This record gives sequence, structure tokens and C-alpha cells, in this order.
Amino acid sequence: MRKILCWSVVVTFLLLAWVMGQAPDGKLHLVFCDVGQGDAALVIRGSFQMLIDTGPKNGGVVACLGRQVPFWDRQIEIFVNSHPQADHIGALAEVEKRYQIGKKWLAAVAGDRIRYGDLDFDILWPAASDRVLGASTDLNQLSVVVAVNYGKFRALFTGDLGAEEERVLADSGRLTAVDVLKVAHHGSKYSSAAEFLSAVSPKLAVISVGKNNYGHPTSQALERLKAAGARIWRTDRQGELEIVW
Amino acid sequence: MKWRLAVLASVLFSRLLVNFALTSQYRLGEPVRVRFDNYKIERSGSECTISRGVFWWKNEDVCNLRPAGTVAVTGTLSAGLIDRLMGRIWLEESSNYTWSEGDSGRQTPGKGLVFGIENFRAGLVRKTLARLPSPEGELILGIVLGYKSVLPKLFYDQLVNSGTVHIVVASGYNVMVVAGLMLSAMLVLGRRRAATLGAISVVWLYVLLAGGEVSLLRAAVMGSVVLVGLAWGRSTRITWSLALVVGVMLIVSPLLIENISFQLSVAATIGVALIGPYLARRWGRADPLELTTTLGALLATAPFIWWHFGRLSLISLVSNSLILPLVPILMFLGALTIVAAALISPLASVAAAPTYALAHLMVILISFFGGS
Repeated sequence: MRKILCWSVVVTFLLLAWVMGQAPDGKLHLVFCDVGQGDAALVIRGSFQMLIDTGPKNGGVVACLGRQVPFWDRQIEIFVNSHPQADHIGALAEVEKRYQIGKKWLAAVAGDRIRYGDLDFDILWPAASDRVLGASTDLNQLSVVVAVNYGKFRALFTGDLGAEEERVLADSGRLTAVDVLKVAHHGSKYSSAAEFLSAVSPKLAVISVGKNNYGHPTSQALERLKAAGARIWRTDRQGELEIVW
Repeated sequence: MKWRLAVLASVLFSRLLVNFALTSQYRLGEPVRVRFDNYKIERSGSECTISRGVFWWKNEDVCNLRPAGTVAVTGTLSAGLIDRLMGRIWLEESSNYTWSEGDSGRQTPGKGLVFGIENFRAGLVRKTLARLPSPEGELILGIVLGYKSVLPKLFYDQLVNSGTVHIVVASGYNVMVVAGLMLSAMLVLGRRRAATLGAISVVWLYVLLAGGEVSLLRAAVMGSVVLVGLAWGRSTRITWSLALVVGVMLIVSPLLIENISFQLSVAATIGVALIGPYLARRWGRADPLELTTTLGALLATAPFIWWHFGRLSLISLVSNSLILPLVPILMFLGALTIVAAALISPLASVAAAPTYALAHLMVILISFFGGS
């Protein structure tokens, strides 16, 4: 009996020590979850997590969070929704069943800013005036564009923003070169305008895409990304993607 | 001996009579329209079955129906579909049946005790999922409560590929593991007979929490007979009692013989009734907590599990050999976490840590053998 108890205690401690390896490392992690045709990305630093979109219902964002967030951490500090379409917010209810969400940023506008230690989140799009009821009927045009700044590292998340809005943003002079670009609208030919890509000149372009009938990612968008000199990563081919800085 | 045979014979005769009366009111070539309301989908391999009264419908389309919905099936009856001895009329696509799903998805609200238990169970699921990440939380709910509707598809596919999907199905094996673990735990607190009664009570509580499916009720009946027999009776009595229970069940529904859950229940019960005591005799005083009870169930069910779920592939032999021994421990820890999450929140955080660690190890093994 005593032997069984001793062994149980030893094995339990070994298992606990093993899973404690999930403790955060203090580096910046950008995770692009493989949620099929949709977007879900995580920005992690220490015990802080920001979830940008959730992907579609049953797309797998909860499993992605299970892998990336330590099991004892049941809180996502910030949730940002780029725009309220099913492939971007369809799994919010699933996430809320598993995690408490500290702050929900559901209708962010340009100029909004959040600082978390040495992490900066700047909202670049849409303008507050665009959010006025009836100003636009296309939800993609109102996609929230989030710039993540961490030291010299820059990443840009663009939701399903269209080429026209991208050009306006490029002309505004608010864009800087980025290390990582979340390619707009899963690689649609109506997004990733050459002027926009030239303004952000991404080193790495990540396309969050799955099986679809739209032809995403399109050859036109892929060509423009290559022309801009970006390396291209795709969740449909590589699965869950993680960038550590 | 004579009275037992007489009981079996009269049950068999009554059953045939009732079945004949039930099915003889339907004529060959007659069009029928059957409406399955609030049905329960039973999966068997790639096909699923729903039933209403004497009507049974089994095919792959059934698997795609929404749970507890409504579906109407119409067609004409043929001789091959009417099974008078079984009291069943099977509806098949091959006999020109057309089907249409009505306003499905409506759950008929339960009442009284059933409603209360369902609510309590839903609460346990919600609180457990809020404590544990995916898919470890779902795995624990599957193993402890047989609750598999929340399993992520990718993980479910991995369970199937690794030949370990049976671990998330509440079956006779789970019931006997609960019985064995509870008997071990209660022997610490009290005498054998009191511990047996305690273990039986917990087994029935477990059956209710696990959804009260017929397969679990069958297993609980068998388990209770054996536990009582072990505490009070002689080994010959136990074997006879078990044979009688199994015999009556098979007479009432002979098709049970090919039901995996039934086979697992019988095997697990035989394991507890015969293999467990044999191991205990061999090991003597080295096993004061009667862990041999659980081990007996494990050993007896292993061949059936390998046969049905592993298709006797090498991978499933290896995966089951590594994963099955962890199941009773995870059931114990998982049950502790689930109960703690429902009743004592701070304790749940403590219990969740080792539970998660073990579940995480199992998830890694399942992903490894089932392909990621």
C-alpha cells in the first residue's frame, strides 16, 4: 500500500513537472491557428494573450488555444474581432465556454490603442466616421486593421480588407514596413493591392485559408505578394503557424 | 436448476408471442409512414440506428441527422424487412423509402428526475470544459461520462485511427472500472459488505450521470449481481447468476450478441467475477485494495477491444497496450476534477493539474498513433 502511494506521488510529480514546461518563455509568439477557411490568430507574451478573430464555428480555434495557452491560464486578456462575419467570429461562443475574455474589442476604430508592457496595439482602420450606421454595407470594408509593435518587430493584421481601402491606408502615410503581414481576405484577388504591399513590404506573408469555393488564395494575390518580396506561409498547407520573436 | 430453466423458457415464449402480435398488424406491400420524434442515434460502425416502437431505421444517412430531432420516413413494407421473431420492422433505402427531416433539433423538455439529471450533467460538462483546455477536457468527459458529442472532429478521427475510440464510449467496461475503483476506495473506509453496497450505489449514480443508456443499465445490472455475489455468495452462484442475467438479456434481444457494448459489459463482468478473484488469490495480501478487480475488467475486455476497434492492426495493439492501463487512473482523477469543478471550485484547480497532465500524455499518444 505504502509502495503504491509512494509511486503515485512520484509519477504525479513527474507528470506535473512535465506539463509545467508549458510555462511562458517571455518571448513574443504570433500564432496563426489552422481553422480552415477563416482567420484566428494569437499574440502571446508571457501570461498575456490577445486573440484576433476566432475562425468559423468548430474550426478548431479552441484546440489551438489548448495547445498554445498554458492549461492553468483560463483567461484571454483581449479579443479583437476584425469584422462580424462567421469565418472570423463564428467560434466566439466556443471560446467563451472555455476561457474568460478580459476585454472584447468588437468595434475598434482608427486611433484606438492598447499598451501592454512593451507591446503596442494600434488600430489603423476603419475611421470612426465609417462606423456610422449606413456609411457602408460591406463588412469587409470595415475590417479592423491592427498593427502589433514589439521593440523593432512589426506585424499587421488586416481582416478581410479590400484593395480600395488598402490603397487609402497606403496613401495615408500611416503604414510602415512590417515583418509579418496577415494577408487580407484569405488571399482574395480583390485584396493585397500592389501599392499597399509596397508600403508595408512584408518579409513574411501569412495566408489563413482552408478548403473553399472562392479560389483562395488566388494566383493574382500570390503573384503580388511574391513581387513584393514576401515569403508566403499558408495554414492550409502548413497547418498551425507560429512565429517567435 | 429446474426453476431457472423454466423462467428462461417462459421469458422466451412470452417474447416471441408479443413480437408476433406487434408485427403481424403490418401487411406486406402496405405503405407506411413512420415519424421518429426526439430520437436517439445509436452508432454502430459507419451506420447508425434510430427506432420508434417496432420500426427501426439503420443506414449511413442516420448518422448525419441532428440529435433528438424529428424525421419522417415513408415507403412500402417487404418480407425481408419484417422480423417477426425480433418484433422489428427495418426501414431501408433499398426498399424505396424516402425520408425527409422535419423541424428537427427540437428537444422535448424533460420533466422531474430525468430533467434534473440531464441539467446536472450539462452543468458538469460546462464547468469541466471551463477548467480544462481542448481536447484534454473533452477526452476526460468522454472517458468519465461517455460524453462524446463535444469531441473535436480532428481528435475524434485520431481516436478512430489509433483504434482507441472505445475509451470515450461509456460501456460496461467503464461501469466495471467504476465498480472496481469504488470498491477499492471504500474498502479503506469500511468492511467488505458495506463497501460493496457503497460501490453499487456509486455505480448506479455513475450510470445516471453517464446518460442512463440501456447499455449502461445492462452493465450496471450485471455488475451489481457480481458484486453482491462476491461479497455474499459462492463462486458457483456468481457464475450462475451472471449466466442467468446474460441469458435473459439475450432471450429478450438476441441481437445483443453482436452488440459491442454488450460484449464489453459481459467481458468486464466476467473479468471482475472470475479473473479478479483469481489474481487476488495468486497475489494474496499484496493487494489489500483489490486493484485486481479493475485489472480483471481490463484484461477480460482487452481482446474484444482489440478485435472491434483495432481491427487487429499492430498500431492499435501498441496504442491500446499503452493507453488502456491509463484509463482507470484518468477515470478516477477525471471524476475527482469533474465533481470538484461542480462543487468546490478551489479544489478543482488542484485536481485539474494531475488530471490534465495525464490526459495530455494520452492526447500525445493518441495523436502519435492516430496521425496528427
